[in-house]
Amino acid sequence: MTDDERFEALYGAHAGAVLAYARRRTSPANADDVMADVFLIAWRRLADVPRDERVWLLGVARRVLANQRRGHTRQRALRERLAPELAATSPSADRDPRDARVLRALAGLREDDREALLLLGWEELSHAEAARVLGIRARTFSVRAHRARRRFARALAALEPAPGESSDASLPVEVL
Amino acid sequence: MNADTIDRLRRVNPVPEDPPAPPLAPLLALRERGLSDPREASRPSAQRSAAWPLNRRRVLALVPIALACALLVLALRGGGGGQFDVAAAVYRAITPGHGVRYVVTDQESDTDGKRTLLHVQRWSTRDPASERSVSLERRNYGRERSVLVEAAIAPGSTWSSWWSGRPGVIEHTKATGTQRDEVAILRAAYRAGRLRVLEKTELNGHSIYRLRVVPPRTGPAARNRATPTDLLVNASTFAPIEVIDYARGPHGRLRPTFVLHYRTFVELPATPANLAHLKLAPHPGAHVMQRG
Repeated sequence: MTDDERFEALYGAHAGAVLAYARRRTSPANADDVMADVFLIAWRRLADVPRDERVWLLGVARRVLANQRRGHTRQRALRERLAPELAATSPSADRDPRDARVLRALAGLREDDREALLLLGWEELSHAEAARVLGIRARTFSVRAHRARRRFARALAALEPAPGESSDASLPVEVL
Repeated sequence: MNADTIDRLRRVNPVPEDPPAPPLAPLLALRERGLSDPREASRPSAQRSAAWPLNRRRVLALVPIALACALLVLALRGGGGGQFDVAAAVYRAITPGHGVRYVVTDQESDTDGKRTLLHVQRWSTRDPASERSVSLERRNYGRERSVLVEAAIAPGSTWSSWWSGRPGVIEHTKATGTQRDEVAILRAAYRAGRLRVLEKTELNGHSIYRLRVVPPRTGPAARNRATPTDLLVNASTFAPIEVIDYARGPHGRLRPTFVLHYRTFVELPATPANLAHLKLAPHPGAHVMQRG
């Protein structure tokens, strides 16, 4: 297989997954650019791409996005991005106040906690795969995921309406 | 992690399915640019040489010969023909790199006999996304009136703006929108296969290409009989020269309604001096007012 053929096969097999990863974390227009950057890097480092291609590409995408955010006030930028966009793109979030609370709880987490949860919940990776995306050991990831889940549950519980209190369905996600 | 947490996260996944892979052609066009990335060039050559497979190095060694052959073929055909992908070259030229993009535009409009000239200088970077623009608007409402506006965005935080009508105030507003990119719509059109090359011609003695952004065939734009947008680019650099919008006149004929002239469209190296253009200039005596 020539380099060009391998590159095209890589693109055909994983472009959708990389694009989905980027779209879940940034605006659709920027996601296109992120995906292009990822595959340009893949082309330059074609010889380094391991057999576990998807995980490697998602790791590159994560670093491309992180580079883009360098210099931003990260937490605020992510809150701004996550809350309104997710609310807008997830129809169920508009209908179900419980989903809006999930988004708000997610947006309030620390970035490494949130990314650990999203790799499992949205990218549907195993602990070992998610660890490779983050460039850490699987055992370290498991500890991080466990703690992230605990913090997420705590954040979610704090957003639950108190007994007898009316539903907060009208509370906009943008208040974050 | 328990299944309940996973399920709750899945329910709010904004992109539940992987979208289809976009066409590869724009990426292949960008790939050529990637190979000439200045950061790549700055790597030690021995390191790059070792990392690259032998067959790719052989291909690169043949590039000058291939280019010479291509030029010869073009020359024999009288130029402008062949398989050269002009739209891809335009896409490369308008895709931001790692430097400071500097764009100067002039826009002229005439509404009910009231002429407005808008001269804009804009500096921007893609990573991190930041920009600053200085606009000079000249309006003719019986007498000439000029307004100078300066605005800058710090990455991910605040818009700062100042205008000559209220020189004592610098307004800070929360940046909620994303960075403006006047040619993003052209890149999107190329990716969607809607940027067509119409002709190679001349403008003021310079060789140019005329391209057209064709409206989509389906969706709201198609139902509303959206009009095309033309783009003139320099035939050597592929940088934009003019963008022309049209409206439909009697009998459905297109008439130009708006012309944006690009006086400058370059990417400057990200030196401290060039990056300094992204910050709002000092306005002595002005105080900051927070809005929103």
